Amino acid sequence: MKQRELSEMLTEAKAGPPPARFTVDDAVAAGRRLQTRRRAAWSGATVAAAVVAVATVVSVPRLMAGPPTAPPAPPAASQAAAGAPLTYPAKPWQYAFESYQVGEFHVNDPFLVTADFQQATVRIGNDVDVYATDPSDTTPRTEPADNLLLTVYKPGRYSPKQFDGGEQVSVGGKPGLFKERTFIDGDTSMVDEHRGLAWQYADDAWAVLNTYQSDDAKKAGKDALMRVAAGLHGVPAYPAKVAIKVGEVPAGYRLAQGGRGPGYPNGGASESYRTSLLYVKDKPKTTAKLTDAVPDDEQVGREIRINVFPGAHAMKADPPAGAEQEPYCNPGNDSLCYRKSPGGTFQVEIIGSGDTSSAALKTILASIKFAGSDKPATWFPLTP
Amino acid sequence: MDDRETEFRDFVGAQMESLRGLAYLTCGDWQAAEDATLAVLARLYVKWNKIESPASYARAAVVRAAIDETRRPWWRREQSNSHAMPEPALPDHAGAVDERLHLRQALLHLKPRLRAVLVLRFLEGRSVQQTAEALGCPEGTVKAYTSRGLARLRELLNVELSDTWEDRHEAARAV
Repeated sequence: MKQRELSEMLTEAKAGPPPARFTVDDAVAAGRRLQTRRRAAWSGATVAAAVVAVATVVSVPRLMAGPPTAPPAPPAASQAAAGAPLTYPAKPWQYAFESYQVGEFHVNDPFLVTADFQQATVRIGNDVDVYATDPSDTTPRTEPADNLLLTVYKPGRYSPKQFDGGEQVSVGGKPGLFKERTFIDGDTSMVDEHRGLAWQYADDAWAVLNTYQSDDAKKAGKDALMRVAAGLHGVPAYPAKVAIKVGEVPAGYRLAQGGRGPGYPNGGASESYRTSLLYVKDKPKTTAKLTDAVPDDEQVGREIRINVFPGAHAMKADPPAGAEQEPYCNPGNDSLCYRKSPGGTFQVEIIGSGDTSSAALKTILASIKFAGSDKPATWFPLTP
Repeated sequence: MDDRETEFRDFVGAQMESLRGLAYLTCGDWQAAEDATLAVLARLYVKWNKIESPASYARAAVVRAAIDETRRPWWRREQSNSHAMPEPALPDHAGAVDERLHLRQALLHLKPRLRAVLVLRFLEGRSVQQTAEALGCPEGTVKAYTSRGLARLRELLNVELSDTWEDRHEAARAV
């Protein structure tokens, strides 16, 4: 084992940056615009306008292909009504609930399943998240907002420890806890406000509803969270479906999570994703009850992530000319490799955490079988 | 151009690259690093001559802004490796690029807050107290994150970051 000083290694890690996209003049111009707008705000304009102005001033165009700018209509979902109690599936990689509507809250179909929980995002009304702005384009790129995150834990796998001291409530006759400030990722040191509700949907079986960001907390108070929680009901277990079937995984790796998109904070149920899979090795599955839905760093050893995107997705590097269908790696990062599906419906990327050679990553990519279309009904059931 | 703006320009010219690198180490994405850096420099312009140590302010603010970038809605969607700036392919001098990429990869496997603590403590050379002030968190959190972050990097890199390193670092600072 080598002995190194971290300061030296960190200095090396930031070496070789790509050319900067802004100059000293841009920084001065941004500062001037911010100053002008603050003065305008103080002289009578609204504070909200100043906030928007600041956001505009500091935006830098993000180079990406993206989903359509107009938010699509939410999929059909029944208004929540008294339904069957939720029973967590006995088999792994299956979902236990479907989308439903409570007033202006639309709970989407679940997008992620792990050995311990499954998750769905919740949109409030027609809210959109602005994910990119371009000074040359007055229309920001948006997609349906993920305002809330619903996590349904397997019985016996969750402890509401971070709700200690919270207000005791009743959700459909079941005990629950409400707290103004919770932490989606267990990070208690930061100032984000994630209003949260945890409740027992069955004996020793918990579900948690969190707001994603401070703005969302303003739109979803305790009563709203409790209404959405009360609307959760079960359906017969059905398999999570993914757009690929992975034929070969290196020895020792096991599927840790999979679904339509990656878990918090690495993704979500974004329209940008079609599938995300996470394989891990080295660390045994924890038997302690979870206190949040984000794997702790110490519980994850080596990992391999596979993300599937629509064919039009802008990848970080193009395939070599004449070998467009073959697996290839990023020229500057041999732990990041790609493959396009035959016909170009999908693009897949694979990211290793260091000990998996690029040859092994390419072997995994080559073993992938793609679904025949972009319609989830035609996809593969998720299997280990 | 007044003296104030000249000073600001000189500061940005001298510090921009360093601030961008600091933000990159914190958030792991060159685009997000630039967003964070430009946002901080815009705020610094407004506060110029009102801040005792612009460099110290900017460096702490850039780390916090870089963490905030990872909490923005688009981050949750676009943090696939595909939507970041292309990784520059660099000539390799005695495996230096390979080592650099492995460290970058390892850093990406730490949560942003752990990365921020390591960057502030070991790249910026800040004390536990100064790091806690910069991130707005308790000193105990900084100590815990330092320990966890170092342990995780040791494991990922198979590199010995000796326990005495921190002691030597603290001792050197105290002199």
